Amino acid sequence: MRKIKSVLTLASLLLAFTFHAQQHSVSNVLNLKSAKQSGTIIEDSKIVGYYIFYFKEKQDKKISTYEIEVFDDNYNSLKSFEVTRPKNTYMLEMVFNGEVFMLHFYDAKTGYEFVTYDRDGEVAGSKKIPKEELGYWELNRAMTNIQSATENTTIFPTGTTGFVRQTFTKGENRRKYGYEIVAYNNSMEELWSYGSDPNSEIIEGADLNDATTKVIAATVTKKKNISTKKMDTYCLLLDASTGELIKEISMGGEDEGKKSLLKTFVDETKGSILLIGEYYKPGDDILKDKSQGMFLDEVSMTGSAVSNTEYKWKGDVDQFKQENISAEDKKEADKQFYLFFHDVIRTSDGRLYLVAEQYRKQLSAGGTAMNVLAAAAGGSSDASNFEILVGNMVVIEFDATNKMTGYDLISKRKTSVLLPAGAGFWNTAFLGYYINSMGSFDYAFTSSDKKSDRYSVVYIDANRKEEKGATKSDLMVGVIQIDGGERTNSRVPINMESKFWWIQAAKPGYISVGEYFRKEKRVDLRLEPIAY
Amino acid sequence: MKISFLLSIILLCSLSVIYGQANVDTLGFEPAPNTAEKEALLDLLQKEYNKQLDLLADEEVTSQQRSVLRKAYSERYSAGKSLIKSDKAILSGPLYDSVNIIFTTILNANPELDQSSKLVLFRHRVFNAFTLGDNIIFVNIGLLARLSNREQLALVIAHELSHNLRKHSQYKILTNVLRQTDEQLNDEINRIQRQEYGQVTALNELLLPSIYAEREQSRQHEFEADSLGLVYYREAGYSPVLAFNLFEIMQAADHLYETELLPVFSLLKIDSLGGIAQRHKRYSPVSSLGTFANEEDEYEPYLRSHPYEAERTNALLRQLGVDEIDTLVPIDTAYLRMRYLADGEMVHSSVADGNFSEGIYFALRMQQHYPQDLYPKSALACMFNLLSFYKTTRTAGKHIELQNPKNDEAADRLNYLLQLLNPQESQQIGQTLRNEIPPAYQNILIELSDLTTAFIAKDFDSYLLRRDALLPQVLKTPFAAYLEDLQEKYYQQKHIIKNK
Repeated sequence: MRKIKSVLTLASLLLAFTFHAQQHSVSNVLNLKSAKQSGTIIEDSKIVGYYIFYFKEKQDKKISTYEIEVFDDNYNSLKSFEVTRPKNTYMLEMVFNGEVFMLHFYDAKTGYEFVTYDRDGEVAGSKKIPKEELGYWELNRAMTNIQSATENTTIFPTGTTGFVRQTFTKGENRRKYGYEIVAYNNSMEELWSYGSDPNSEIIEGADLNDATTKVIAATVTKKKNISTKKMDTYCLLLDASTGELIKEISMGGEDEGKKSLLKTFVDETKGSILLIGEYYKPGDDILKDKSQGMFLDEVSMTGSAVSNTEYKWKGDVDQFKQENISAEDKKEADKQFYLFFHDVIRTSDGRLYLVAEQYRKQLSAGGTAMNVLAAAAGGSSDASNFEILVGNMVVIEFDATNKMTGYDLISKRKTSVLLPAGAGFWNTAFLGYYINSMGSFDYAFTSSDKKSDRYSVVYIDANRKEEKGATKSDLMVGVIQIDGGERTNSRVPINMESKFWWIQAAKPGYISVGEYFRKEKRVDLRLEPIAY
Repeated sequence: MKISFLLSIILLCSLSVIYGQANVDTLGFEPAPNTAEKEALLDLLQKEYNKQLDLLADEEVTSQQRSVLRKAYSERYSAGKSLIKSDKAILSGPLYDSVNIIFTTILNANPELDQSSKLVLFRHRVFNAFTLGDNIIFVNIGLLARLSNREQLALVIAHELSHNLRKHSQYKILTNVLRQTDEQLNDEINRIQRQEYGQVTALNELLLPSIYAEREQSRQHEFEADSLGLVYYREAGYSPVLAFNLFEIMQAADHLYETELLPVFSLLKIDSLGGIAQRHKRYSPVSSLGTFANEEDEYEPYLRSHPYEAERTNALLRQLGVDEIDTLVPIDTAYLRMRYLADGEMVHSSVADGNFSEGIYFALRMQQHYPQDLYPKSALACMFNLLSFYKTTRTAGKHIELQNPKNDEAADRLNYLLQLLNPQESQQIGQTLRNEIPPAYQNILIELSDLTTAFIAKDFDSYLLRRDALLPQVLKTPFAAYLEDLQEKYYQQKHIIKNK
């Protein structure tokens, strides 16, 4: 799933935001770079604001002053506070729990520091982790995240009183690592920690899925060594107050067949947890083989199985005939597409919508041509002879009893993703994760408003014409709108004045449109409704 | 003599009576024409500029200072020229004439003032009047729309003329030039910029004292202009008692939108459109991240260019030799007409600028105060129809403000409403208002409204006819941008590739 992209950096900004009436204009932008020093503030899956962290001045050889500015979801500047840090500090993540902001800083010389700031901009607490205690994989992740345009998700708020964080443990060497999940209160005092067995021979990693005041849910993967793609998956449930293990639920194995965990829904009202993902036949592997279908497992808050439902692609899903699809899609129907799942939406009435995108590996005419030409010239090319064809969007619907009620193709223009040399030999399942990490799927983001029970899935449609023969819009976004359980699909043309523009997720129901006017050295940001 | 202020209660009461009196003088607003008499003013500006350059030749300054001064005068001249040449400058029409009467009254009563001084009204929403120091006084429409009588306006004008007489702008220019050409200072700045650490702190330490001094001087100039202005004001026969709540109005004018109840739904007849009221109930004045305490800026008093309003009031009271002023301020019926015209110009200015949040706010307010007037209704019809068009093209965000917890709640609620309207609802509102306008009443906003309606209905034959008829009168106005937007979309709809 493509994650939300960062807001622009203000590294080259001389003035703070000036708000000119309807649009928010930032003046004196000499250069435009996209960096990790800005991002969104998320609360309960909903964007509620933005932050910018920018350099102010060098105080001395070792210390620099930075400024953090916090904006609400309408780009109104609410608070600005100065932070003194070692020079060359990066801010990797900033999370708000409704009371305090937790900031994760990284300095290449000293390591990590976590600092919490209250609403007055005063430091509420801090914790340092020296570089020597971090380990290769944690440092590697820090460096990767600095260069990446995607947001980090290693810290989750647990209500308004604290946070929980996932980390790699140090390990004896680079060929081994484990995980640790640590909880803090708002003053950065450690409340508890839970982790993999440090003496274990196998490699264990964890990704936080959900955190409430009662339960922490994470996906744990275990494998024998670094290089293998074969792994076992577990759903880890921890007591949010004590960190005690509730249950580590196995998602299958070689003999019984494995399951990949897409999403976990903790429903405290109902007292149950819903696990959703794909299942594989015995002997098959998640990153290697095609799944057999979908599963929905319901467990209690103590991890005990309540129900299990499976839907096979062949036999269950394909009974939902696609009647209103284009001739092109009808022709392609026999060709096997894989599905890459981007998001799972659960509405207040318990209905589920799985949002996926079709893709498959195929021979690349362009890549092959490049290789032939390069070979003829006596050289070589970086292109693979294979490419990934990204197809239509897919929405799979389930009712409140987890019964599948729909499987819909939403047509969009197919796009090709060229692969680097050698990647053609990778299996298709793995390639899906690969191109997702490159941001090559058309899925952009899901805008969620749980309170209003309104969700908008936004993707880019390469067909920029509103109708056949029409002139092209600058951008065409597709919107799958789920409002109170009703789903509608639409295509929205968005036009710009500037040649340099971008879109990003914004508050529920809106898309943020940014335009850079180079001559005027100005950035304009505005919000437009995704769907009316 | 103890005289106490009767505060905004009097003002509010006066206003409620004022606006209740809808009479023929307040109907049929038309924006002031953008024509004529600019050449005379530009000539005056040129003469002032040449005079400065001539004087400069005789000044005992270094060659560097002369060069910097020349550049500063040139920049001031260019700024003045662009202000005067812009569509926003008003140099004729009934509003201008009314303000000019006050202007010339003060000039004529005070021979020591430069009698060649000229007045320009400027279409800007902010409460302000200013001079660039070349005997031209600019008065913003936003100021005229906030005042309640001619005496307040006279005091403002007298104040600005005093600035001119005392050459305060010239003083500022010279101070800046001296600072810019101070070799010792420049050497120190260069040294700081070369240092690796603490540049911002060191620059602050170096420059802040002179900035504080400059601001202190600016505040002294304001006191001086107040004091001298009061003298000229009284010489012109105006009573100080009637203008004394000017500073309170000034303080309240920090908020662009006035705090008053606006019955938006009934003014726009939205009650007939189901669902909107329900969606509007979701409005919350609280920011998505709640409230944050912001520290008081300890430097703010030293960085102010103007004194606090209370200080200015006290200084004038001392000048008058009284402790307080307590009197009933009568309604200035002549100013009612001026205020009406200023209200109309606020609407016109906002529509021309494409700021529909402000335009709709000011038009609603105008409609509330002058319910018989067709101008605000035509402006609203135009803006809602255009908004419908912009919403379909996903560019409405350029024309509508986002919610802001610092806004007055009435304005913030209005922005929320404008955001949540879909294109059809927006168009329905526009059409409802348009249908209330009799066919005999025509203005450019009605034309634009009808043009947009035709476009939205995809009646392109009608659209093209109307567009061609409208083109000549619109091309040279800010409304040409709306035509361009419609035309761009027309090309897209009709699959026409525009030749660039």
